[in-house]
Amino acid sequence: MSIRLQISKNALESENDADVHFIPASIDGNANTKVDEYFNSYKSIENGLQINALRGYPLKGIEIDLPDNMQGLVLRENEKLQMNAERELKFGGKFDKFTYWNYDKNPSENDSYRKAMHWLKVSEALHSEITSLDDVKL
Amino acid sequence: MCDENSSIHINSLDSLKSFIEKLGCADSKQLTEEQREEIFINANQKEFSTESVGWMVDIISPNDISTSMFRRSKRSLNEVSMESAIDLIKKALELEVNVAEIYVDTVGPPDKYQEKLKAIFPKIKITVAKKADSTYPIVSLASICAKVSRDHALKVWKFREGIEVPEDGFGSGYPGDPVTKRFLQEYEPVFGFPRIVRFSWSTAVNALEGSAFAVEFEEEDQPGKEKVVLGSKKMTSFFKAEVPVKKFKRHQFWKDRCIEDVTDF
Repeated sequence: MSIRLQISKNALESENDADVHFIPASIDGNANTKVDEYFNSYKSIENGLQINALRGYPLKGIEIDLPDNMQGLVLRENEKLQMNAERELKFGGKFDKFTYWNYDKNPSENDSYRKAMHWLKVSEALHSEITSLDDVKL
Repeated sequence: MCDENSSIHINSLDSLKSFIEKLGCADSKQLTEEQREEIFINANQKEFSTESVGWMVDIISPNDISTSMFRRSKRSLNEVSMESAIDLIKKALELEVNVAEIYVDTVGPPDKYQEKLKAIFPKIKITVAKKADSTYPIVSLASICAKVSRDHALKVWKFREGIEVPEDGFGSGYPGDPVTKRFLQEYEPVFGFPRIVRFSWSTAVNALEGSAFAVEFEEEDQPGKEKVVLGSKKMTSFFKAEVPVKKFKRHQFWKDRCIEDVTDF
């Protein structure tokens, strides 16, 4: 099944970045929500970490930049189409950094997200072309 | 919705006695809000405050209570309350108040609480009791200071959520109050309630169930560990042909990083 992405060049060049949060909880639903009023307005800084809470659960966060040469995109799908119909995702926003939150744990290099980013380097090593034997490190 | 703790300091025990007689303290729960305020105002009159009584409250916001109770190493409401009381006593000592005796309304078993305080403050005479609020006028007064402070904090509460509070307000915060019940009917799908509501309060949790989105945090259990299911094999399993299924196990590298193949999203 193919998916069409609708992203205009203008949108990518717009200066406004989306405010994106990585939340350590599953939220069973999709809706517009008042992030600024209910969440950002309560953010505080303690020992260089961002402190906040969701539904009474303590969160500790940091701002994380996306890896070099990567662009973060928010994609929206208006409605679930019938089976087998071509899906279409529309541009909802772009971001170069986001706030990463842990549930009552200092964010660190041991977090799954940050470790997952190791794959970028591993993948590059695995898939980059070998042009001469000198490129092969033994 | 809020919790409060308070302590009272007296200059001399004699002045305390006459002071409390003058104020007419009683079990603060049996007083109306107006009566409590009157006693509170009297206690802050110059002659009283310079002669015999000083007070301090530690106001803990609903958000602070929930985040303490929902930490990974959970703390009970009683533990939060005890910690607050201990901090108040420490602060009084830091301010060089000559603390001779301490009277505390208990949370949980009083003897355990008393032992705990005695271990921290061995030189002070400590009395922890059930219903100290109605037995010891000094505790009653402390409770009045706490309740008046809480009522005031709620009156001037600023909702950063930008919600419009109904004309009759949000009530007392007790589960039986119909105004509070009505206030809890309004919710936000993701965030639930404004932070004036303590999320570790079962009434609040129940009010969100089935209406707002279910939000589930990763549990403290070690990830990847399979649950042990007790019990024997099902009877019917003996009549089925066993087809060995080779399970493909992902390498730890992927597991640690929560990386999976995705063909659809």
